[in-house]
Amino acid sequence: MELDMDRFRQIFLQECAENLEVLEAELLALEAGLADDDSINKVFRAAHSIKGGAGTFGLSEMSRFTHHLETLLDELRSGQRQSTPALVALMLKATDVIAQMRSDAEAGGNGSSPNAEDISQQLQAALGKGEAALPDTAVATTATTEGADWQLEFVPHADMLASGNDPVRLLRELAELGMQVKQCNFGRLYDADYDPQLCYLSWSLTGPGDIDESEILEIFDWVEGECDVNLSRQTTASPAPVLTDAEPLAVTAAVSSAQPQPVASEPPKAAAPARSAPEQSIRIDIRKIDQLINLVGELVITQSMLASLEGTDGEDTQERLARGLSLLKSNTKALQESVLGIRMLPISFAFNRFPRLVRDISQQLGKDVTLKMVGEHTELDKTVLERIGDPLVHMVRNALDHGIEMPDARRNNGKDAGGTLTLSACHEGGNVVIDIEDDGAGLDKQKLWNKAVEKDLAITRDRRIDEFSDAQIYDLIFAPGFSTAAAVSDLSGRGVGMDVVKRNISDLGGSVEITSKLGKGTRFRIRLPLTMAILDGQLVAVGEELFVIPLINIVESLKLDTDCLIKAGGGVVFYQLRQQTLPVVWLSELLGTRGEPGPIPLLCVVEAAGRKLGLVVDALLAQQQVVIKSLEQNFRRLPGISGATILGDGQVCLILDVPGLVARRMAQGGKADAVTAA
Amino acid sequence: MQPELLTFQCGEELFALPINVVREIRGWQKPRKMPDAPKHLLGLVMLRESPMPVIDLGWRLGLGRTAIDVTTVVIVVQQGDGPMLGLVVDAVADVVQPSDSQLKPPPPMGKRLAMGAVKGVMAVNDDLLLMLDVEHLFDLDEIFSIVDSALAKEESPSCP
Repeated sequence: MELDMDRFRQIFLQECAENLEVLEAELLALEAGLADDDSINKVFRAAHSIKGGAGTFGLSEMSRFTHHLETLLDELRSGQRQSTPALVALMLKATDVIAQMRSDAEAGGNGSSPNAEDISQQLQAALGKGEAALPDTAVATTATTEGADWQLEFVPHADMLASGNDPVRLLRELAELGMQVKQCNFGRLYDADYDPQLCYLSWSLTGPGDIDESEILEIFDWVEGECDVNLSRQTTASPAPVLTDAEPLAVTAAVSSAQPQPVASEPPKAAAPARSAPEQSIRIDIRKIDQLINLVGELVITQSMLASLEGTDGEDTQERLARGLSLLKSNTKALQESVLGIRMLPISFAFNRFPRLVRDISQQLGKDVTLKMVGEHTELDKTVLERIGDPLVHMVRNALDHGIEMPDARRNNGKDAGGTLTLSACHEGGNVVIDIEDDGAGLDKQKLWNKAVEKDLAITRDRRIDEFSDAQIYDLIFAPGFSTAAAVSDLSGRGVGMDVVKRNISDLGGSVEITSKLGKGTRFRIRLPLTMAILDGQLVAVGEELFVIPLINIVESLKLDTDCLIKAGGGVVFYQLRQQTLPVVWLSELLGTRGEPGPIPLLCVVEAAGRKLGLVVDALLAQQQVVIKSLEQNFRRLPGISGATILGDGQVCLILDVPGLVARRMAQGGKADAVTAA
Repeated sequence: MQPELLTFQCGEELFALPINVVREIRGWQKPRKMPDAPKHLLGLVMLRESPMPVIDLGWRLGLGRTAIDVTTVVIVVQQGDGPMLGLVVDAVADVVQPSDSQLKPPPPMGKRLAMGAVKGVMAVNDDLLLMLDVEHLFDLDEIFSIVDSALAKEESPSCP
């Protein structure tokens, strides 16, 4: 039982996260004046679901807090209140608080947030404020009818019974509150072929005016979307008289007079007890599942076709066998693609945080920025998606901070005062390409160069600017310890530089390149592999053993010329390759089997984190795509090995962890740098 | 009622494991060597789409290296849904119902056997079975700390 509850709680938390996204997106649309009539309803529904769920799972603080937000939204929805920028900003802050509460609940806490009290008071203040109510033109029916009897129209949808909900139960609960059925409407009975499984009736109820509105609506919490409920106060007056400031709204009065109960303040916990990580789950488009089922069906048919050939030796057996096998091949390929597709999610999961982020930061900086997003439906692997989020945030911050100029500066340069930041994603071959483009000031090469020299970066030491290509100068941005911000702002100068961004992208097996036009703008283009489950590898042989080297790490391969080997003592060996001196590692040593080297040893030059390393191997075999298997399931991580794969003949083959090997080698030979610099 | 035991031959000795930790019995397949691994850890083979380490049980227990031939078998052991491990042994002997006789502490066998891996001895049908300690088999740190017998270090493996 306990377990089940936990599972439902997980589902609630997940849905809550989705609802929070809706809240944020729609509120931003509201702020930008892009909202349609349905926006406010969507926001209301999202808040309502969060409130209901939080109440169910005992997150009372969250439920109470969201209730205030919901009340405010309800007033906006019913037209009793006009949305103002200040109000939307407040609601966005409230959304943040709910998000904090959600995270707290997910970490095993009771769903609290340090800012809840403050924002809650602001919400209530907003609710209690009469001036937020409508100007004279609007008709406000509810206000005049405070205390008047309730009138409720309850119209179940025809298929309500199918979901296990029973209108009779609802009517009973309403009766307990004091609502009485005034009329049962069976008009719908006559215009349909009668089906005993459908619900045709609807009811009109009335009840005394002192029942709390929320109590009535709460009854319908669980049948949302399965019936239409219309709750109103009976009006005797026809057009309602105009509302005056002095007369707060009925509902709001009820809310603001109800003092929030002080939350029992616990002593701050030193650290929430670490609970086991929530189960990783993924939501899959039902169409993907259907496709898988179809493919498995085809596979079964192919299998039975092949099975029917067993023991036959007609003259067409060979031909049928060949046909069956080629079917099997295409089935398997399609199935593999589909299965990998399950882990694919649209990049909007990474993009959807940006509208808010761009709004907040541009306001903070006093800049006017419009965000455009293109290709949000581009899909990539869940793991890649989760890990690209932070680098993207950093690059967007960077574009806002350094790229797009202040409105005045833009005007002076004959541009629109408002800048545009474009995030776009598309597929290109087996990669995803993500562009972060601004129409800002562009990169000033001379400035970048001066900065690098001033910072005395190793890469520019004793070099001249004309030895560098444009791209290489732009790449200085990614050098450790480089920042062009004149003053350290609280946006970019937070100790995390673009070098970390570049490293994160490299870790994902991706690359990033910069193009820029002075005065016109800058574009960061990120290329990422679609998935981390498969990589392009180079199969190499070392004695009797095989390894896979990720193709992305290989710079070049050449015949090993023993004359170019430099022994540097301590067992450290270097190789003189043209102008460079590389450290060298014999892969056979890695296995502790200093076997007989092959007749023609080869040097495979690999690169990671800007460092090169020569790997001595006996032979280069095929290049192929390999499926990456983790060693940790049955074993443990091995130094220098990132995983294993299975070859066509069923053999295991280890995949080299090039960054790990490079780091390990650097740790071994501290002299390496000295030699390279020589 | 104790679970049945799978008995198997390793060198001169007859070992036993509870049948409920044995997942399957496979033929020999050459494993892929691993870097920095002790010698008795022969390498990895693929088992149902994930790499599984294979150890030479006799070698690990100090009984000397198992000769690989057509009768060599690999016993795949797994506790619950934990990691899987392949044990290379000379031959599978039998499945027996343990007698009610208590497990007796292992006889002192000197340094010849890494005794941490043996829980005790049990006499079944005139055979003396050496009961293996499953927990101990999966102790990776212990696997890595076993010194190759070639080095003939005079220390018994530590048991954490």
